[in-house]
Amino acid sequence: MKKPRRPFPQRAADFGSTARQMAAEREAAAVVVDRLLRDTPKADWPGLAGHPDLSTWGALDRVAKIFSQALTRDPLHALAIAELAVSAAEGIAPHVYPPLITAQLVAHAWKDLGKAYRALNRHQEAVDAFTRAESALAAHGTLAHDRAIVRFNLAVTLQEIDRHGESLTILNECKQSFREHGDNRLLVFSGIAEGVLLQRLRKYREAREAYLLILASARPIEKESLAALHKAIGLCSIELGDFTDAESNLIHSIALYEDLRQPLEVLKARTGLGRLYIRRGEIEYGIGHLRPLRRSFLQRSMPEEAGICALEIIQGLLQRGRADEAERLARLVIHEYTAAGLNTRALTALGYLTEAIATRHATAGLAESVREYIVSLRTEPEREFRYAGTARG
Amino acid sequence: MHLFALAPGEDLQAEAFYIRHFPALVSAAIARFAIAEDEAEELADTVLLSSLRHLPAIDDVQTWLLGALTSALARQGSEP
Repeated sequence: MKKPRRPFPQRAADFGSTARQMAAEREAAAVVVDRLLRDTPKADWPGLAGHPDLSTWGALDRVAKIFSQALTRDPLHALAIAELAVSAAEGIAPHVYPPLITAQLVAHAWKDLGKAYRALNRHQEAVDAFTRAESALAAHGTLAHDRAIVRFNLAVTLQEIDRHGESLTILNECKQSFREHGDNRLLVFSGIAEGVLLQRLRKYREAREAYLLILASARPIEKESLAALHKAIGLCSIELGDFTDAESNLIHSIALYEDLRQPLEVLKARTGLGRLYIRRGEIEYGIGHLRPLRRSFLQRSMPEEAGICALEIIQGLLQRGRADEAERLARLVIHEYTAAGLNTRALTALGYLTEAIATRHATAGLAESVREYIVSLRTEPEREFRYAGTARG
Repeated sequence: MHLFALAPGEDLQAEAFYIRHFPALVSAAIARFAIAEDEAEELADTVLLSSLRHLPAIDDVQTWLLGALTSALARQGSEP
């Protein structure tokens, strides 16, 4: 049945009333939600789902903020928060908010759950959660932006399970939607995700084009995204042998990360610069540049990054015929990885490299393959090590 | 930007937002998609409600609202 036509003043008053309700809930939740989560043992959180203080728009908005802060720091904690949010959102009675607002609450709670699963490498569960999020929005045509946000997360997850074609298609749809809604931030993120996928597929030229397109757009780009873009362009340019562009982009990225006071990102971008020097044939200079970076990673208790940096150094040492030093360093990395309890597959690949160096059969190409493999284990922890080249080569 | 922060004296901020954008959305829906006025009003109302969650983060409110309107109408048009 067709809804009775509401007069304009009534519509405006209803809208104002909903907006005020949401603002009041947000203000109340700022105190209540934090206290509730702090004072309730995590094991008892499932029982909080029906708590009246949590079953509001404002409370779920606050929970989403707490989730975002936890996601990179402690994904398991973030998962517990997201599970609670899903239960609370699903439990909201239908008459409390207009249906599309409830749909947004439910969808974003499932989306956050998907993000938590993805952070824990539980990719299929993540895909299922994003699918649930999308279905919550299906009945509401005006929620296209929400839908694009969910599908952007789905696309990023599909990359992790090698569904690259689907990921690219969805990213293109998302870019269109973000453009239509004037969401420059997520438009840039979608472009970066597209570039990352192309890089993963070793399509460095196309990846660099994707990044350059974002830079060339007239849209304002946040400094952090700008730094990531210059770093990515720099790394692609190294692979393409375009060392001048690589150097200028990496230096630009380092300067931006320094401005942002992100010392870890500075170290990572500087590691890229070290790789550039070695690829360009300035091997001694590159090794000298990378050694202090490796020490910095170790001082920060980051053995994985230190090991990746060491593998760049090993490539240089092997090119200079300094196999004894390369072997000592490779064994040291194995020791560090073992002590840190890192992925045993990484240890297997490092062991293969070390033996190849010990028998004087290793090449810089093998060391590079091991480095790439160890980086890929972050997103594909079950991947097997396969070296296509010849250790003697 | 803190739209609808509703500090004392700002009680009508949300209504003002609605009053500012509703007529333009209705006009756009009628002009671009040739739909009836009552349908256009309902859609404009839904678009504005949809924006509430996103408002603090939206850089360009007008673009966002028109994007939501266009997406909804395009979807309606593609449905059997």
